[in-house]
Amino acid sequence: MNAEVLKLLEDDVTLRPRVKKLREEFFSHVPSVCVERARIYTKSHRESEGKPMVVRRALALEKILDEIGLYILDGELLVGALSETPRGASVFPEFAVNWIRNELEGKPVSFGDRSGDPYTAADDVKKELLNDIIPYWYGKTHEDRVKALMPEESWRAGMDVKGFDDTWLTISGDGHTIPDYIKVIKTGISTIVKEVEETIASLDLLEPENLEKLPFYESVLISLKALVRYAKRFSALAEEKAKRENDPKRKKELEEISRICAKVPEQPAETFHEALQSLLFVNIGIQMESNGHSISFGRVDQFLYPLYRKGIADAALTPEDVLELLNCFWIKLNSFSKLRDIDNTKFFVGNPLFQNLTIGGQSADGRDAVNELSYLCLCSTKKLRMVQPSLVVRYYNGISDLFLAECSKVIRSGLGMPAIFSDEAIIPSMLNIGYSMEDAVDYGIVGCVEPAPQGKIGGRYGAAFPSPVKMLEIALNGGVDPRTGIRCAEGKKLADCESFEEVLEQFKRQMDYFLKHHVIFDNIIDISYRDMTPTPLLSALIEGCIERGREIKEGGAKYDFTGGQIVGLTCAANGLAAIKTLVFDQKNFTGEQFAHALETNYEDDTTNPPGQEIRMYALNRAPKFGNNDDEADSIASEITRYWATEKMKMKNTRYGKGPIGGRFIPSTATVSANVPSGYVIGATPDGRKKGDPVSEGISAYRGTDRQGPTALINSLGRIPNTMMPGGQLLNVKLNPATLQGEKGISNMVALMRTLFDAKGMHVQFNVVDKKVLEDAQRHSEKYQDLVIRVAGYSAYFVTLDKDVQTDIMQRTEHNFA
Amino acid sequence: MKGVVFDIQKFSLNDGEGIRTVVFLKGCPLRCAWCSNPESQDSTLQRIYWKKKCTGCGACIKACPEKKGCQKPGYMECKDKCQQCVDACPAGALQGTAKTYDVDELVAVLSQDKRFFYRSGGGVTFSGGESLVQYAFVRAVSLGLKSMLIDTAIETCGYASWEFFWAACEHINTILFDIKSLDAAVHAKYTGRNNTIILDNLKKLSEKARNVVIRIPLIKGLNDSEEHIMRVIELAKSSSVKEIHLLLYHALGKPKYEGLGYDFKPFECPGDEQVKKLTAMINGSGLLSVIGG
Repeated sequence: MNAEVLKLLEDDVTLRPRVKKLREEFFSHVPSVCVERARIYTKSHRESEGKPMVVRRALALEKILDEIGLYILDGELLVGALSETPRGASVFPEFAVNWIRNELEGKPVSFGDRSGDPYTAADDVKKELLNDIIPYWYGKTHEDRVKALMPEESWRAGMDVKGFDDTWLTISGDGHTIPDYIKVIKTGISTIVKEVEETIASLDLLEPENLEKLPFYESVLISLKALVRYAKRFSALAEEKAKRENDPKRKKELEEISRICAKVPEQPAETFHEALQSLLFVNIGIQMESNGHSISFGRVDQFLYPLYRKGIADAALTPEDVLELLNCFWIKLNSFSKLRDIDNTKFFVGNPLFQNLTIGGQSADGRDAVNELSYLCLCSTKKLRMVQPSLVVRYYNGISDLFLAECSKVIRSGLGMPAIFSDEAIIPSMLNIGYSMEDAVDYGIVGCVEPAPQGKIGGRYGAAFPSPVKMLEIALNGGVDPRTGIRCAEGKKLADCESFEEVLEQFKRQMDYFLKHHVIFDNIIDISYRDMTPTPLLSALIEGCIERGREIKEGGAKYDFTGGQIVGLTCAANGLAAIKTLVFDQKNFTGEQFAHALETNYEDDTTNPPGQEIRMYALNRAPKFGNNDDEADSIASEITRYWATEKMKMKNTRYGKGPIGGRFIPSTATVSANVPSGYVIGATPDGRKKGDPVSEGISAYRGTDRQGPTALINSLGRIPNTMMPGGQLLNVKLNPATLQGEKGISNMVALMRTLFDAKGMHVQFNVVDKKVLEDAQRHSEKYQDLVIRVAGYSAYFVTLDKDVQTDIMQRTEHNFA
Repeated sequence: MKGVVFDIQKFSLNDGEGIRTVVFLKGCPLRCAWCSNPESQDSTLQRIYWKKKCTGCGACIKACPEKKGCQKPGYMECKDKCQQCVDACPAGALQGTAKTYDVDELVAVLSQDKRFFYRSGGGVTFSGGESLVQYAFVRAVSLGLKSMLIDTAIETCGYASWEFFWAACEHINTILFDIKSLDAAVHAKYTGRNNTIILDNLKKLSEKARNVVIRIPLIKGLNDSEEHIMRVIELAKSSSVKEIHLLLYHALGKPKYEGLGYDFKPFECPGDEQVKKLTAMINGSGLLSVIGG
C-alpha cells in the first residue's frame, strides 16, 4: 500500500482549508422547505394534461432542470444541488399533499416545531404552497390513487391495525437503487441518446406492442437531454463567475468547473474530477425525478480506480488532491435533504438519504479488491465526520487485516461508519434468488443494508415494515387486535392453547394474514407508481429498460424484487420463548394468567402471582435471543425461516414480465421503525411494557444480551441469514474503553472476522460513551456534529427525536474488562 | 469429577492474549484484604442478596424448606445450602455464587467461543478464587481444551504444594503468576498466608518451558514502593519472566461484600504519578510492563 495514502489516514492530518470552510458552511445552514421544484412541476403538469403520464413526467423534469435556481458556493470544486439553497428540501406534490398542507397549517405541529428533524418554512413559501400549488393536486396524487385501488381489508390491516406500516410509500417515492453510473462515465449520455434513437428507428410499428413503447422512449430522450442541459447551465454560471472573479487561483478553478460541466455527463469522463462531477449530475437528476431515497453509488473505489491511476500516473493529481475532491463530493451529498411527514421522521429519524457508497470486497476472480482509492474514501469519511454518504465496506475472507484495522479505527472514533457487509453470506443469498455470479459478486449496498447489483435493478427494496410483535399480540388475543378491536385471521386465545406448538401455529396464522395484506398493499403502491409517477430518467440508466422499451415498474429492469423490512423479529422470538418456558415447560403460571398480565400491562397487583412478579419472570427467567441460548435462538431461527420462506413465494407486479425475480424478499432493515412500531403494541410476553420500542434489525432486544458480543454473534449464527436477501441488520454497541490501543483494534478485527465466519451478513458498531450521549441530550448546542449510528445509517444525534435518542442509549453496551 | 465455578465471563480482553473466556473457580487459600471477588473465597455454595433488585414478592420464602428465605441478607441463617430460594427468585435479587460442572460440560461451555479464540489468538483463562484448589479439575479441563487446540492461561496466586501446582499447570500455555508482596510480614498480614511456598513455586516454574507473567495487584502503601517493585524486577529477571502486569486496585467488589453480609475494608489505588514511575522502572529494566494486564 502506498505510504502517502496511509499517511493521510493518520490522526494529525487535517482537512484542507477549503474543505474546512465548506464543512463549516454546511453546518451554518438550517434545513428548509424549498418551493421551486413544486412550482415548476405543477406548472408543467397544468400544461401537459392529456399526454401519456410518462411523457408528462419527463416534461416536468425537463422544465425543472431548465429553470430551477442554481448556485456555486465559494471554494466548491463540484457543483449541483437538489434545491435552490443548501440543505433545502424540495416538495414533491405529485406523491401526496394532504400531509404537507396539514403540517404547514401546524397540524399536529408545523415543520419548524417538530421534536426531531425540524425544517424552516418561510411565509411566502407556505403561502404559495397552500394557495397555488396544493389545491391543484387534490385527487390527483399517488396517495389518492393508492387509496382508490386498495381493498378495504388491506388498508385496515396496515393503516389501522398496523400489522405492517407502509405509510411512507403511500406518500413518497421509492428510490433504493444504483443507476448505471459506469455506463455514463464510460460512454457519456450522448451514447445512450443515440442508442435510444436507433432503437426507435428500428421499431416495427406494425407490432401494436411497439406503439406502447414509443411514449417511454420519447420520455427517456426528453429526460436525458434535459440533464445534459442542466450541466451546461452550471457551465455557463461558472464561466460567468470566473469572469467576475479577482483571485486568479479561484478564477482558474471556476474555468475548470465550467469546462467540466460543458463536457459531462454528455461525454465520457476522462479525469477523476470529471467522473465525480458526472456521478453527481446523474444522482441529482434521478433524485429530482423520483422523491425516493438511497440513490446509491455502488462500488466507487472500483469503477473510478482507472481514472484515479491515470491522474496519479500523469502527475495531474496527488492522493491528497483526490482526498480533497472526495471531501467536496461528501459535503455535497450532505447538502441534499428530503422532506418527510412527521410520522415518518420517527421511522427515518435524522433525515437520512441513505446514499450508500460501497468500497472493498473482491474482484470477479476472487482477489482482494481493496485499492488506494478504498483507503482514500475511508479517509474522507474519517476526516469529515459527516453522515453522508453512508460508507459501506464489503468484507470477504481474503480481505487484508491492514484494511480492516484502518476501518476499525474509523469505527472506534464513534462515527458508526463504515458498516461492514460480508460477501460470504450476501453472495450466496443473491445466487439463491436468481442473480448471476457475475452480477452478485459486483454488488453494492442501497438503503440500510440491501445488497443490489449495479445498474441492473430498479429498486423496490424499500417496502412495508411488517410488525411480528403486533402479530404476536393479535395471535395471543385470539385473532383480534386489542387496540382497535379489529378482527384479523381467526384464531385461538393463549388461554385456550394446550401446547407451545399450538401457540406457534396461531402466530404463523397471523403472519400469513399480514404477509398477504402487506403484499397486496405494496403491489398496489407499485401499480400506482407505474401509472402516476413513472421514472423515465432512472429507467434509462437501468439495464434492460431500453431494450424492452419498458419503464422499471412495467418490468423493464434486468432484476426486480420487492422488499419489506420486518421490525421486531427478536422481540417476537423472546415473547414466544417466554410462553414456552414459563407456561408450558416450567408451568410457573397458566396461559390465562399470562394473558391477563399482558392485558393489564403487568400492573394488576390483585392477582396471584401479581402482574409485576409475572413480569419479573418474563424478564429474568425466560431465555432471550442473543445469549447463545438454544431455546430462544432456535425460535428466532424458526420464525425467520417461516417468514422468509412464505414471503419469497409472493409475486410482485413485474412477475413474468421479463425481469429475473419478480418476487418479494425479506429483510431486517428496520431503520428507526422499532420505536414508532412499539407505540401501538401493548405489553408483550418478553416483559416489554406497553408502548416501549420493539427490537431493531436482527439485534437483541435492548439490554437483553447479557453475555457479551461473542454470545450475540453465536446466536446470530443460528439464524438462516442467507434467507434474508433483502439484508440483515445487526447493531452492536461497544464501550470505547474496550477498544483501546493496537490490541483493541486487533480484537475488533477478530470479532468481525468471527461474526462473518458465523455467516453474519452485516454489522455496524456504535462506539460512543453513554455519558457523552447523556450530556448531548441535555446540552444539544455543544454537540451539533456528534454522529451516531441509528440503524443502517448514521445521523446527527441532536437532530433525533428524543424517544429514539433514549432507545439508542438503552441498547446494551458491551463492556467487559 | 466435578468442579465448582462461580462465574464465566466471555469476551474478556484483559486476561491474556486476544478474545478470551475467563472461568472463575471457587475457593481460595488466601484471604487478601483487598479481594474484589469475595464470593470466590469460600469453597461452599453461597448466595448474594441484591437488595435493590428485591421486590419483596416472597417467592424465596415459599421455596425455602426452612421458610426463611431472604428476610435477611446473607447465607448464614440457612443450613442446608439447597439454593432453592435462588432458583425461585424471579427478580434476580438472589444470586447463587456457584455452579457445579462436569469436566465435559465445562469444556463444552468454554469452547463455545472457540471461533473467536482462533481468530484473535485468544483462549480460556482459569481464574478464581484460586484454581489450584481444584487442581485435578483444572488439569482435566485444560486437557480437554488442549485437545480442541484452544489456548489456555491460568491466573494463580501460586499457593499450593509444587506437586499440585504442576498438576494443574502442566498443560497450560501461559501462567499469570500473582505476587502480592515479597515482604513476608506484609504478605502474611494481608493475605493470611506465608509467601515462601509461592516463591518456591515460581522458582521451580522458571525451569519449565512456560510463558510466565508476574502480576501485582497494586495497593497504595502496601506494595507500590519503588524499592518493592525493584525487588520484583530482580525476581523476574532471575527467572524466565518477561512481563510484569500492574493491576490497579479498585473497589468494585464493595456491593458484593454487602450482599454476602461481609465487612468491606477499602484500600487505595496508587496515584498516576507513582504508576508512571513504576512502569518506567519496569520498562527500563528490559521487561515489558502492562497496566491492567
